Amino acid sequence: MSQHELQLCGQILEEHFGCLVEKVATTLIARGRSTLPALVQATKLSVKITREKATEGTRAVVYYQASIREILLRERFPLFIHTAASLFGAPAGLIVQKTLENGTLSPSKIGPTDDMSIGQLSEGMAQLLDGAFLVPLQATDHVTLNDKLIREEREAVANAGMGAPLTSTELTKLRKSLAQQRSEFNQSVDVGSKRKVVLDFEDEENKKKQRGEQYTIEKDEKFYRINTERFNLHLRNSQIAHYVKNYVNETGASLIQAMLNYGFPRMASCKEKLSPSVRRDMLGTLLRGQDFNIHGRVSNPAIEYMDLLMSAHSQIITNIDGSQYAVNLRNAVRALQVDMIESIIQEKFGLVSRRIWRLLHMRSKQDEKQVGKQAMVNNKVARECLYAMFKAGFVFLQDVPKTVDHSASRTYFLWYTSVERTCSILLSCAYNTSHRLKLRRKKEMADRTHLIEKTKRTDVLSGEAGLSEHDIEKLEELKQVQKQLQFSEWRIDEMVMLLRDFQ
Amino acid sequence: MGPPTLSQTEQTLLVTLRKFPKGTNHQALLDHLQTWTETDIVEGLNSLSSKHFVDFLESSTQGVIFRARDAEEATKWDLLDRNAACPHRALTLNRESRRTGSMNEQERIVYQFIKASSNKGTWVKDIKVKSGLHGQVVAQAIKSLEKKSLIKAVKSVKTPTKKVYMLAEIEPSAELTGGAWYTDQELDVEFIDQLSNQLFKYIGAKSIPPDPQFIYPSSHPFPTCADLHRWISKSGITTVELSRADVQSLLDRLVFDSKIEQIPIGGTTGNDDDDEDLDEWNMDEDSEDVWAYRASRRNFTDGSAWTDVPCGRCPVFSFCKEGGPVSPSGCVYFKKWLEY
Repeated sequence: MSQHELQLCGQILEEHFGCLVEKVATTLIARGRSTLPALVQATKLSVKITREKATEGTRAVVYYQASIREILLRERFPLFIHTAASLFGAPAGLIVQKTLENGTLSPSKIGPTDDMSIGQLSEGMAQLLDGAFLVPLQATDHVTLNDKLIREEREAVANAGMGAPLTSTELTKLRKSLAQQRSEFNQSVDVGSKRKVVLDFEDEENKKKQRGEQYTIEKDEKFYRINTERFNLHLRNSQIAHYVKNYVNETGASLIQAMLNYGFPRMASCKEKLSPSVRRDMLGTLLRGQDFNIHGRVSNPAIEYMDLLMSAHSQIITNIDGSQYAVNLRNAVRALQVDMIESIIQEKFGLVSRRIWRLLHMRSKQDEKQVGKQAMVNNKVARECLYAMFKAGFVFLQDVPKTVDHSASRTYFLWYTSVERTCSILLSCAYNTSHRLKLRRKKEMADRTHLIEKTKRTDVLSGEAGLSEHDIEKLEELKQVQKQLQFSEWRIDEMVMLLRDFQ
Repeated sequence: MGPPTLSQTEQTLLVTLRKFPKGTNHQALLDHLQTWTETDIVEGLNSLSSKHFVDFLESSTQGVIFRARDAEEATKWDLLDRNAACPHRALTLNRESRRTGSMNEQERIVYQFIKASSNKGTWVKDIKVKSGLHGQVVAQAIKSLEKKSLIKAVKSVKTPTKKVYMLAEIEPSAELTGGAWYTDQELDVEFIDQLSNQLFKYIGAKSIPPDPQFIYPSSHPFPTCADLHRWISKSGITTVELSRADVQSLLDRLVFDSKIEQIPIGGTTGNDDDDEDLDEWNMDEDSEDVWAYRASRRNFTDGSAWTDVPCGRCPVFSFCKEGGPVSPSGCVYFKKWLEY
């Protein structure tokens, strides 16, 4: 965890819960798992306040112990609400909002609002459940990852020591082997690979309808939580389609979106390599009734798009056994990341630097002179670009010594790129930027405290005393500034999403 | 000014020598000129040598061998001698030998080395090492030869500070001048830009249908390097002669600019490992093309989320801190950005 992450977490908690919760939670983050007395000592607050605040921010504190991501994820709540609303309509948006506000939600507790009936809300809820955007809460959901790990370790220690305490070397070894087991398990076991045999999905649905089982929120007493991975999956899929739109055309984008939508119910995690495959003869039916926009006559227009995407450098389509096509999600996310890095380089360092970066990205390690020659620029210009990018973490140097003494004069210095390293550097920059945008927003508000207080005065609210023209102008300006900063924060969060959550 | 006069015997000997372009030893000469004695040959060779018609060379198999210089060069040597003797007449001589000055033995040695290096040129240090002459002597000889416009100094693009010398009438090799992309030892970026823009437009016209929302099927003949090379040579957009390797490097540059894409001819490779072999293959002049090119539709004009906020371009991003001399609340870039 970097300093920037810690700062950003503090900022988010302050915005969402206030300064006391922020103080308690940041202390917890910095210290790790602590007991109440330790926390009281560290925060210098009274026991009562500390206990209250720790409970008030329960979600945050418990979440923190699970993963710092949960706090950072709060930044994305508006996007989740917006996504749900645009997918399934306003009632679904409202349900997601309420779930996020409370952490968990029982549908029976949602009452009808002025503009939404129970029927609309039930429909929204059913759609959310159908897409697995909301999942039933399970008892194990409250057990944090840290707790799981601690329990696992405790069991392993009890089994290994035969009653005698372990030495520190043995403990280190044990921890290593446990970590090894976990990573092997994650790699070798597919989550959700075993399925119930359903011969005909439509038949099952029809039977349900015949039985007259229609979902209503009033009867549902279960508690639900948000499944963030499903939201991430949906957002990732639309970004991939958008990428194809930029690189090919609208039709290509719709085709890819249709392929991803077709496989969406079977996608479980962003870590999957391939999307569920589509049969060659099924491809054409995905865009039924649409014009494929191909110049000239071809027998199977959808295959032309597949060929085009397969021949491109990014290779986002994979052919399986010649008869099936799947979206290569890993390559697609990598292509999105490379695209973003290229845009940043072009904006920050100019065209020549972008050319050099791409050159290194495509041709791996190169000497400075080779770079100049291939990019067709003077060696001096190439060197300047390389060092500027080196400083900002976009290109890296590998030394290859000719002699054992590692003398600089007898060493080759080769330049190379690493998308992973650049992504982690950019992620840290994004956290940092997000933190600064928040600070600036706070400062803009603080500068206009008088004005904000004035608008909240009872006489102004009731209309007895009006605001002067100057005040109204300033208020408009504040709105504009806030909008701009908030909008930028969301865009930066989209960048974080691509760098952190899509892979 | 005619060639130097030669006596009858000298001419006979010279004609005989010229039958051996690679040189010959005195025994072979004796065999050819059967009426001559060994003394006659030695005297004849000496007098020819003094008039710069013969070179004496050392051969590992034949001992000392003699080789006739070609007529033009012999004249040049002779001219130099005459000019030295009679400076007033130099004005009437051909341009090459207008400057006066004699060529002494050292100059000749240096001249020989420079001549041997042909269009690649040779470096002063190499001459020094090979000839075994003192540095100053070599420097003087070079200076005087340069004055006489017999040799010229050329700078290589690879080592811009190092001068190499070659005969004045020789064109420097492409290795020294840098090939088609260099004008006056400088990389002509303007020229490269213009040319690649033209190339990009041409590829665009050949690979994107008139309606940009349409695509060409994979059976469409996308242009290859050979096609583009042919087009450039025919279109007359440049007077500079470009080789296929030159066109290939222009295409690579466009690929790196993500203006065009490289696609394998005849289906997809689907395997990254093959790419490098294919690259090498493509560089060969006579081989068939394995890559075709199509214009990319992506343009990077929409910016990025990070660089759209001031922090993304901030030169002091790394030491900006709340409470420090540079801070988000006091940031001037933010102020400008928010006002805009």
